Amino acid sequence: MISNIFLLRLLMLHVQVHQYHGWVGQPPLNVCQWTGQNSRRCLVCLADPLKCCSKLIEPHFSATALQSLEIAADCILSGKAKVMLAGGYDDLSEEGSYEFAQMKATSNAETEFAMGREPTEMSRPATSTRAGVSRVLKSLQQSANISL
Amino acid sequence: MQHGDKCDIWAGEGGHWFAKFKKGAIIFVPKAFKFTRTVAGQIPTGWAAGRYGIPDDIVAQTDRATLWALVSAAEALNASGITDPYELYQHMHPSDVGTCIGSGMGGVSSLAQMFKDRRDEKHVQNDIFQET
Repeated sequence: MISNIFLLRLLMLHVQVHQYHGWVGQPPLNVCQWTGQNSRRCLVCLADPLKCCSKLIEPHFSATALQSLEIAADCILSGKAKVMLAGGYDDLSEEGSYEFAQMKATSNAETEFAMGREPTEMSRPATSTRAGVSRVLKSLQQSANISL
Repeated sequence: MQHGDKCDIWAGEGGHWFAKFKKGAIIFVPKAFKFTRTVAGQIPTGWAAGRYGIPDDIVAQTDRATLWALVSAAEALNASGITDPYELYQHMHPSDVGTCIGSGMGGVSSLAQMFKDRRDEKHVQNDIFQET
């Protein structure tokens, strides 16, 4: 009973920190985006690396497709479903793009061009020269598949 | 725009009306400005959901992100060799078929209509809220 409550509290804390940190800024790859801890010390990372640390690759805003794939795989593995249609999509408008820029979450295209960067390399979150991501209207087309 | 006591309005002769904006009145003036995020992934120009078989009346009232997801789901099925999804139910119970589609944000063009176009008294469909 005590351990259950402890786990619940831990999860709640996890969610709160996650909501607080959100996807603003890009932490180094070995830091859990949710808790800000080293991912080896983040208990949820240890328990379920894909659920937690997938957000290291990209902020969770855009990681819903990956999470959907994992949930779909879980559903099939646990026998809850035989076929899952899984994926994700995000919408982006000029207003949203402007607000991402205000948060410095996205890379400044003018600065990047001045440095000789091509549009394809402006989003490089796993490099030491990362300077924000480029937003892409993602869709199921890129990430979806049918698992049987 | 409500100016409250920052604006005087009075009737003139011959059906004319006068308005006087006083210090503190706020007037909206549309403006264009540039900003530095010029690189992004975009839906290809000319992409039309109707071309994928979605009826015109659905296309007219559904948000573009929803249409994109609908077409993507159809393409995922086709890419998996399933041209008739109902065929699945010949082999398994409907409760064994699930969907799991995530989104961080969708329907932003409908949101813009809801907040901007409605305020500007432009034509906005009555059920725009469910598209956001």
